[in-house]
Amino acid sequence: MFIFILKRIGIAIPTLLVLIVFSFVIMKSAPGGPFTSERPLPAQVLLNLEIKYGLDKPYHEQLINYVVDIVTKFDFGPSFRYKDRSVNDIIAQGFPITLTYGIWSFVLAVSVGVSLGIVAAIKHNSWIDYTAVGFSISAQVLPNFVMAPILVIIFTLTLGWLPGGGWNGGQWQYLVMPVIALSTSYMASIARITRSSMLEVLNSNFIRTAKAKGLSNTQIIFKHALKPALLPVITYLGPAFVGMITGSVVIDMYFSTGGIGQMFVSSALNRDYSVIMGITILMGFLTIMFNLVVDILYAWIDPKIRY
Amino acid sequence: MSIFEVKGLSVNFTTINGEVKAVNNVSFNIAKGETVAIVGESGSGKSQTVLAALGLLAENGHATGSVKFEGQELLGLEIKNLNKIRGNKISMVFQDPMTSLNPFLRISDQMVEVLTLHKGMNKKAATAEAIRMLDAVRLPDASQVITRFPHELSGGMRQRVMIAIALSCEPQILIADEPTTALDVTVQAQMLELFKGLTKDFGTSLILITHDLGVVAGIADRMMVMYAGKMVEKGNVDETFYSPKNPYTFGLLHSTPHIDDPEKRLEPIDGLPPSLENLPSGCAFHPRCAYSMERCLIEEPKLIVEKNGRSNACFYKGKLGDKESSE
Repeated sequence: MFIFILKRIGIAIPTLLVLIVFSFVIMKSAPGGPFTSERPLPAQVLLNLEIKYGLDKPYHEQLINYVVDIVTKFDFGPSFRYKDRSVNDIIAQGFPITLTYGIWSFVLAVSVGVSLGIVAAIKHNSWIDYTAVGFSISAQVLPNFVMAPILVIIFTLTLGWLPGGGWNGGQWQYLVMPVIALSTSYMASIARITRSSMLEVLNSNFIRTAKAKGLSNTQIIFKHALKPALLPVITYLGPAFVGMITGSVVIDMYFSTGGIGQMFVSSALNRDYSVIMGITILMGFLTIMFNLVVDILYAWIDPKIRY
Repeated sequence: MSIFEVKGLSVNFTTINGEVKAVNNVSFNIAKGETVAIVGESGSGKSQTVLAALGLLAENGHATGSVKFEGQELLGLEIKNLNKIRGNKISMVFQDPMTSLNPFLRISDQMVEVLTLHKGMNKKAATAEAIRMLDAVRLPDASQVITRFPHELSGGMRQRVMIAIALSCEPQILIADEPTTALDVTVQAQMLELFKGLTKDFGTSLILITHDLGVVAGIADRMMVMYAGKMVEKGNVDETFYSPKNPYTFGLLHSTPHIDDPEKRLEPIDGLPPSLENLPSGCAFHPRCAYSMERCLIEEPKLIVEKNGRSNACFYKGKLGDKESSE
C-alpha cells in the first residue's frame, strides 16, 4: 500500500510536467500577449516590460526558468496584469474562498445525494422513488447559470433574506446561494449513481442470502448493501470534489465571491500567463491527489482490491 | 407428521409481456427428517417454489396459495415475523457459492450475524460457535478460514461456508437450491455426503432442488418432478426410478447415462422446454411427448394420487417404454 502511494506520487510529477508544457505551448500559440491592448504600447516600453518579465527569452528558456523557480523556490512567478502581486498571492487570496464554499457544496451534495439515492432504491417504484428521480433529472438539466439568478430572484429580490452577492469573510448568509447553486447538479448526479448502483446491489445474490438469513432491512442495507453500492459513487466523487473546490466560473462571477474560478477566466482573457499556469497546475495537482484518494478509499472498501 | 405444507402454491411474475405463471398450483408436504428432491429442467419453477415460501421472490413476483410451517402460514406473514423463521428454523443454501456470499465482508461477519440475531449470542460465543460449524462441515483450518474474505476461498470452501451458515441455527428445514451445480464433480460428491450426514445428525428435513438425477438417487427419500411450473409426478425415489409413471419422468430418466450399461444410447427428450409466456394448450408437455393423445391437447391432466402415495398427472395409463421399442 505504502509503495503504491509512493509510486502514484512518483507518476504524478511527470504528469504535472506534461501538464505544464502542454498548457505553456497552448498559451504561447494563442495570439496576443499580456501587454496587448487596444492602444498599442510604444515599442521600447513593450520591450522593457518583456525584459522585466523575461518574455524576451526563447520559449524553452522561459519554460525551464518557470519550472526551476517552482521546484526550487515554490515561486509561480509574478502576475503580468496586477503589478506587485505574485501568483502565489492571488491563489492564496482566491483559493480559500472557493475551498470554503466548495467543501460546503461537497458535504451538501454527498449527504443529500447519497441519502436520496438510497431511499429511492429501497422504495423502488414508489412515489418517493419517482420524486427523487424527477428531482435529479430536473436538477441536472438546470444549469447553474439559470439556477443562480432564480435563487437571487427568490431569496434576495422577493424575500429579501440573503445578500445577492459578495463574500464578507464567508459569513453564512453569503454562502447559502453559492453552495446551493454549485451543489445541485452534483447532488443530482450522486443521487442517480447511488440509486442505480444500490438497485443493482439489492438484486444481487448475496442480498438474497442476507434476506434468507432473516436479517432486518436496516441490517441488510447498512451492513451488506451500502459498501458495494457506494463504490461507483466514490469513483465519481474524486473528480467531483476537485470540480467543486476549484469553483465554478459562473458561481464566482454571478455572486462576486472573489474565488479562484473568476480569476482563472479573467487571467485567460488578459493573457496573464503565470496566473493561468498557476491555477492550471493547482487544479491538475488536486485532480491527481484526489484520484489517489479515491484509489485508497477503494482498497479500504473493497477487500478484493489490494495494491 | 409433516412440518412443511405447501397447498395450491402459484407464483406469477409481472413482466413487460404480461403475467408469467412460473409456478402453477403446486402442493406437497415434507415430514420431519425427510429428504425430498424437487426435480425439473431449468425454468420448471422448482426454485421459485421455495423462494416464494420464504418471501424471497424478485420484486415483480407474487405468490398465492398457502405455505405452512409448523402450522403457521408463511405467505403474507409480516416481514418481522418471517425473519424469525428464515435463517433460523428454515434456512437456505443457494446455487452459486461464488456470488451468494457478500464479497465485502469477512466470513466471520457473515456467520456471526446469524447467531447473534437468532440465538442471542454475544460476538465471542458466536465466533466460537461459527468455528465449530465450519469444523462440522469439514472445512480444514476453520479458525483461519473464518478471518478470510469470500474471494480468498475456493468454490467448494464457499459452499461449505454457506452450508455452515445455513445449519448454524440448527434449522428444522434446510432448502438447498442446486447446491452442487457450480462445483466440480469430486466436490459435488463430498457435498452430498455432507448433506446426508448433517441431515441425519441434526434431524433436519432437506428440500433439495436439482436437475441432477444422480444426486436424487444418492440422497433423497422422495422426489417430485416439475414441468413448466406444474408438479407432474410425486413418489418415493426407488419406485419412481424403477417404474416412472409420467412420460416426462420417464424421458428424464432415459436421458441420463447409466454406468452399468454404457453401450446404451441416450434418448433425449425431443424439443425444448416451453416458454412460460406461451404455454401449449392442455398438457404443457404434449408437444414433446411420445404418448400424447388428442385429449392432451385440450385438457390439462390433474395430479392424481395413486397407490403407495405416488401421484401422477397424465392421461396415458399404459406401460411406458413400449412406444420407442415398437417404432
